[in-house]
Amino acid sequence: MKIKELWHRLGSPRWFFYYSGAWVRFFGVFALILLSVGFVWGLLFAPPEQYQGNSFRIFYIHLPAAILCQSLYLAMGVGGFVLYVWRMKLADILIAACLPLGMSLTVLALFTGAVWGKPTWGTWWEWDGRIVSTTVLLFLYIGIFAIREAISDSELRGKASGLVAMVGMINIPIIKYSVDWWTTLHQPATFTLTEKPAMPIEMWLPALVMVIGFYFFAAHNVLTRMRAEILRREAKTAWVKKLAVKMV
Amino acid sequence: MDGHGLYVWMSYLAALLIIFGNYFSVRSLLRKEQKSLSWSADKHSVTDVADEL
Amino acid sequence: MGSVWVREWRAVVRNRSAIINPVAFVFLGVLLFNLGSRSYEESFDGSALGMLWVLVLIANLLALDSTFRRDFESGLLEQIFVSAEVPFLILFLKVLMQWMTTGFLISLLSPLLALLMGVPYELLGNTFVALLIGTPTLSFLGAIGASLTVGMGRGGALLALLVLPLYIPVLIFGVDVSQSQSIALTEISSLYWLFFISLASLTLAPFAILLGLKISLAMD
Repeated sequence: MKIKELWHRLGSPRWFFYYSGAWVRFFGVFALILLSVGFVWGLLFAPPEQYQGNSFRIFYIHLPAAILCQSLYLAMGVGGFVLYVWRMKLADILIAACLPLGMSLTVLALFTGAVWGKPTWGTWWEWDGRIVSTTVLLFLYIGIFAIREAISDSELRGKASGLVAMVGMINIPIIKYSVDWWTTLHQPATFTLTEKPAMPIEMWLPALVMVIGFYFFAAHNVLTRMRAEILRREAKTAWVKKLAVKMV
Repeated sequence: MDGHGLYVWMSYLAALLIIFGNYFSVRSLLRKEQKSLSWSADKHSVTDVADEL
Repeated sequence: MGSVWVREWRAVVRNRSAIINPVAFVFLGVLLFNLGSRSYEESFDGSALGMLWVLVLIANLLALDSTFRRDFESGLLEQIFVSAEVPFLILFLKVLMQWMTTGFLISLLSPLLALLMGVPYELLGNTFVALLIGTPTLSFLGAIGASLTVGMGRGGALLALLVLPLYIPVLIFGVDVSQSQSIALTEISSLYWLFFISLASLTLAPFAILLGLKISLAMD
């Protein structure tokens, strides 16, 4: 299916609902497998780090949480853009769907970061560029949530949250590059597209498994939320009613 | 675990909580929708559906 | 454009409390901090500058709602959107005027304010420059939030929640410049950041403000 055709199909919640069904199952199953493997691997089988000992294992949670909370916000920002340019209702549904997991993972990233920081670098919290901008990310999530609560009209709610999501996107490159611009607590990126990771394979492989597993879980979560919302919004339509009859 | 085991377990536990929390919240959302839909499907007969088409 | 500027100016003059309030608030805040943190030592530990900046941030926050509120309620805003070919420019001038009555005024008075907070002489100059360059950002980024909440009755807390996270970079760089010991402004890297942020928000924020006002107008 060509990209343009796919894009136009996305304008229809009904098409999206049917098309996403198989994907949801795929993501769900593989998320379960990858996360189970990753959890056990990181917790028990990965080697302890040279200087940090076993507290390095927190990295296997901290890294995917941090990567995902940013990706989910990016998804919301892109959704906002799509909403304004193509007026796709699905984009609004996407924004709402990314919120809960995005917020939880941002909290998880900050929490695991603090917990990792204490034994490793002796401090729970430092106001370095990345921690501050991730905290700002959390507030951006909360802000989008708050503005969605404040507006009752569906279309305006979508536009307002889309606007805030887009404005907040400026924060993402700040999170990414603040470690390059200022050297404080964080180290530069582990995974880049061009170079081999600086750490040995026994350490970055479980991390990769966890990152992909979390991505799949996020996809499963977001898609399922979108499907539930589509069912709610389109409850009065024929295709949903037919579906309901089948479900009885 | 050289004294830092508590931190590691706390992190993994928090991650599990968030994963399960989100998974079950999503499951209950979907179940709720399906339930309300099947409830209203019970009320209407098939002829209503035919009218909409 | 000149007539727009004159109209904004007249609106400000008629509503003098809008000018006095933010400045009065900062003075009040300085007073409160002095009363609340009385100690026998005269040591300056840099936190006074940070607190001054926070006061400026909050004063700006309080003055944000008035940026669009009057014109929104009088229906003038709707007219602007319907009739003007370039609402962009009008919005820009509006926010600029808001800055003149808050951030700009506060910057002018900042040497006095900083002195009252116990900031040593050497830092007064940098503080003034930092505030002068940083406060436009506060007005323009804040106006984005104001544009979204002007349609809501009690948007106060929501406005703070949306706007204060955006203020954080200005706070960080602003305090850094204020505390910098060097007299040669070109040596302070944070100043470049502050300048860049100001320029970026001045040029980009009006687009977001436009969209935000459209949403608020539709909510009526």
